[in-house]
Amino acid sequence: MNRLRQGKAGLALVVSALLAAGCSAAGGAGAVPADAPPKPGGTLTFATDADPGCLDPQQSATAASQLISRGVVDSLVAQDPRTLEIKPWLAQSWEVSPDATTFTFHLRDGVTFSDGTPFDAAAVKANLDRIVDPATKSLLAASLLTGYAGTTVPDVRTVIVRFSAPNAPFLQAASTAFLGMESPASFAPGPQALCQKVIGSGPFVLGAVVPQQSIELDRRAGYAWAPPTAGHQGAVYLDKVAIKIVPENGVRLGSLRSGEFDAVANVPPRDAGSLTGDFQVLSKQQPGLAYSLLLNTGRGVLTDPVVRQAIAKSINTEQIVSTLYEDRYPRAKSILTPTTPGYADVLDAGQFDPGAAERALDQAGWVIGADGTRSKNGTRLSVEWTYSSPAREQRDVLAQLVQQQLKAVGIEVRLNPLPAGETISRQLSGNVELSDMSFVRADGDVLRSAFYAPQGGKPAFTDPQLARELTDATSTTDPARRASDYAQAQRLAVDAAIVIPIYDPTYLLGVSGAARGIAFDPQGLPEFYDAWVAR
Amino acid sequence: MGSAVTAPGKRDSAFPNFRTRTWNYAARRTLAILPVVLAALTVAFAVIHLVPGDPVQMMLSIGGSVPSPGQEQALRHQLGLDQPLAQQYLSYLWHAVRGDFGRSIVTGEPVSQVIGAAIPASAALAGAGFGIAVVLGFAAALLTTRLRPGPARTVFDALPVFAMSMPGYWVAILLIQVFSFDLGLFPATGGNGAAGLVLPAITVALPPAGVIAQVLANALEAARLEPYVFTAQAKGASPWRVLVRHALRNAVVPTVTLLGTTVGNLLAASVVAETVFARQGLGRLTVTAITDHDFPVLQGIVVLLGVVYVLVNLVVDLLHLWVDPRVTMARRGER
Amino acid sequence: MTLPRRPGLLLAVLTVLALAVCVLMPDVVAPHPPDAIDPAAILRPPGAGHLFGTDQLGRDLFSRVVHSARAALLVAVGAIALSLAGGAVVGLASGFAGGWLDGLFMRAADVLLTFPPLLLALGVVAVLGSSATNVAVAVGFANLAPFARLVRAQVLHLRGRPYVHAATLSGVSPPAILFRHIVPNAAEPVVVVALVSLGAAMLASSSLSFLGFGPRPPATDWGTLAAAGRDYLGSAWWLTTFPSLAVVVTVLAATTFARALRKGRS
Repeated sequence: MNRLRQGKAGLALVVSALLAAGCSAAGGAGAVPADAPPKPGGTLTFATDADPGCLDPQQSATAASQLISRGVVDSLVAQDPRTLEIKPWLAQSWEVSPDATTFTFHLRDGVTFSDGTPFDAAAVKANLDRIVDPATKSLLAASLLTGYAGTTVPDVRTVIVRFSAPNAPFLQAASTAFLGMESPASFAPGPQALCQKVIGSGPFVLGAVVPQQSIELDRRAGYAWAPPTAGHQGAVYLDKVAIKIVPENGVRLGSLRSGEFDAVANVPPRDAGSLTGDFQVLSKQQPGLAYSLLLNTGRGVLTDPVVRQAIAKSINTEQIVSTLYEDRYPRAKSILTPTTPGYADVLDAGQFDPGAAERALDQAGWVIGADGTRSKNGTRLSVEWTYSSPAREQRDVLAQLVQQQLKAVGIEVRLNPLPAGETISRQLSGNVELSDMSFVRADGDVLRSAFYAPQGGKPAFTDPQLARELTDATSTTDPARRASDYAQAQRLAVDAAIVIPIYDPTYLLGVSGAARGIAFDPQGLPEFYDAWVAR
Repeated sequence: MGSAVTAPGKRDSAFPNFRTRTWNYAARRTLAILPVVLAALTVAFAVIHLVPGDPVQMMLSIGGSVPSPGQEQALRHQLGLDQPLAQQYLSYLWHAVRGDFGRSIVTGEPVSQVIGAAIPASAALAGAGFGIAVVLGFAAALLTTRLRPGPARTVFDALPVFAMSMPGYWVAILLIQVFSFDLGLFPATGGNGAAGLVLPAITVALPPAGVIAQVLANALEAARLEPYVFTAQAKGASPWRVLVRHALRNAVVPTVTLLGTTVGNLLAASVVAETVFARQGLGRLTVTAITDHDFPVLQGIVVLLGVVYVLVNLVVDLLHLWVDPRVTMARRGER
Repeated sequence: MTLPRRPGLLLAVLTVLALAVCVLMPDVVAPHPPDAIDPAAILRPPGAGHLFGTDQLGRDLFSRVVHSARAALLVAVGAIALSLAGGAVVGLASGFAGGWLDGLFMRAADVLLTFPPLLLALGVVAVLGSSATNVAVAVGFANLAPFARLVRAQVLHLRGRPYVHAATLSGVSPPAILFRHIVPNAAEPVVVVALVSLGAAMLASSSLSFLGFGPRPPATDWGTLAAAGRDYLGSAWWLTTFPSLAVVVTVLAATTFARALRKGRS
């Protein structure tokens, strides 16, 4: 009875995800009707765009890695992709202390990791302790445990996690793969060994991994602890998900059409319209930070608020989303995306007003020189934009477009493409003028990742009031107070022009008629638990 | 390789003196690879010291975190950069000789393991590419030589030039568009066994095929003027028989010399092919190691290329010995 | 002379003229500025108004290809100039000094000769970082060997000639001998090798650009343009085709000249 109900809820979820994505229902694709029941067995071929690198979610911070590891590790709690409510998963229930410093989880019985190790309270403690251990070199997970003061294990099914300062966002963080549970027996060989050998309690087991080429996810027989948010219960339908890393957008799309893949990641928006007939594009607006420009208030001409605001007013985001993304990625109306808890629409009308920007710069004494670039007292109105290359979602082309838009008002942009890791590390150490970022996380707490450097580095963007709002939001479990704190923080950052939101990242998943039941997780990444192949 | 060494001995067993000389030459030639390997090792060692700026800072920045002074010191120590240069060099050689180039900065795996994992895919690509290049090159040269002057001959003359003038990335893109997207004959991405190997192998094979075709066609043209060809023709042998049995046997000698450049070109072309076709391999590994400033992996690749280079050239020289035993005599006379 | 009877050579001459115009005055040839964005004309196929079509920002591809000629050729020609200069120095030293120095240089040249330019260039870029100058240096270094060998051969050949011998005895300095006797004699074969190497340099540098080690945006060369078109393989074939064709045509022109010169000599 219970099982049946959950199955229905899951089906409704998948359907609603499709509807929310604004897709037409899958028309009679091939021989198998659209409403056919899931068929067990078979292999789903999937082409992803980015090499995930390290697959251990406790170490890695990338979405590419999370896409793979999500199926391998389970989390203490689950987040409903639709309502964003927190639901039970490996923990059947929990209590949070009013000051958001103590979290007590009551664990589910009968769960085992795929290496046979039982999942219990000691395993949870081992995982959390490992994440904060500096030797693990966690790039993100450790920052989700800010203020971690230790875990106690009163009995085999109960865990108490304590923080030295309030950490209300921890509950949502615990639902992400970053804080997913791995078999403590696998920790011995050291963090680097785990990068290609993650062992969790999830519905999939990590199969063959060929770096930069392919990754296989194999069905875990006997899996029986899916969260209530899933489309069904029990083991996965598929025998295997064969994932290939295909960085070339054009090749990925062409290979979907030629039948080499059942589903492909990140369809270029410009080509999404061409996937018709048997093919369709499922889209999901991702929660978290909108793709935004970050202006380092401590560097060069960007210390001047007039300059920052002029830049913000000179960027035509409307033109960016229509030219580059055919409006399939919406124009951002705040630093947070609309699907993020705590989102406040602070830029409904947009701020594009080049006339006002030019007037303000004229008034401030920035005079246009012979080469078309303004200067004042010998200082050129010139900023360096450091960004990752190769870039996804055509962000390198976007940079060229913004360069042209700012050139029109006499602001020079010097483009400085660097490898991704170098860009991030320069951002974290504040060694950039203009930079850009987006970040997927279904909680307003993601703002902290942008405005606080997680571990030890100098925060690149500091504003005392902003810091106060964000700290206050982490210390309360009252949703209304958190929402108002986050709204205030978004307004502050946009008004001071330390952040210029550009577009809301949207996952465009290309699928053939054979790929069925691929859903999106709360992070807006495709999930294969309910997937099956119709052939 | 072993057979290449023994073959001349068997063939010329009637001339014992000649046989010893051949052996001597082969042995000397084999010993001569040692200085080149040492040079490759030294170049690889120099890489990390030639980099402008601090290699440790560069390597650490790649992980996407802000390195702490402790981490920096640890890496400096791990790489041995805190020791005197001479000592670094000796310890590097000592480890390198045993195949130990340390660990990758990015994945933390031993360099030998990272490179070892990429070798089979690259070897398969280079091997398939080599086969296609030889077949295409020989076929084009033989056909060209058989054609009388005229439009068809002009076209065939130009084909190798075209093959050598095409940038590898464009060849790859065209093959994908036609054979993967339009016809759906072969997959556009790697790792699919033999089917996935076809298009990348053609991509890497085209430029060396062009070189082989040109050199062989010229040599065939020259060989046709030799007296024994006339003799064969006079005896009434068919034109194809003359070409293949008589002219080709002699014309093939300069083509053997090309083997070295061919292998080099195949490896170079695989950098682009592996990237476009999303294949695992040494070429792609090189590109990522460069963008990630993964110097230990780069060092390993440099040494591996050096070793491949000397081995290929050794094989070339020994092959020469086999197809044309006059080589030893000529070389001896030179000195 | 015989140009009309040799269509290949005629085409090569026309190509070089067209390239020269593109390099010297791109603004005259290109109908649009290379970075002028036009949201109303995005990814237009080739046709009237846009000869080569437009890219994802509505920029005119023909204008971009024309404006890229300078960067593309500058790297290739610069590389050849470098290999020529380096090759001359090494070849002269080798030829005049002889002995162990000659042996060492020629061993090194052997190694360089069989090592593909692209791999060497990748190595240099790995060490020095990617920039147009570094790419030119890298490709130039990789192509040094044929020049060094050629110059050395000329030196050895001429050193034995009675008039050179006489000049040496009568106290003419080596540089004077070099410019009076060796340079004029070596010029033609050097040009042939330079033309062949130009093609190789072009291919290597455009491949480097394609791999992402090329000029920094907004600057472009043909390799970066082709790389930027990869996202649209299925929908906008012109984005990769025309920049790649520019490379092919340039390489073919250089090769045709080299062949014609070689034929003329023999």
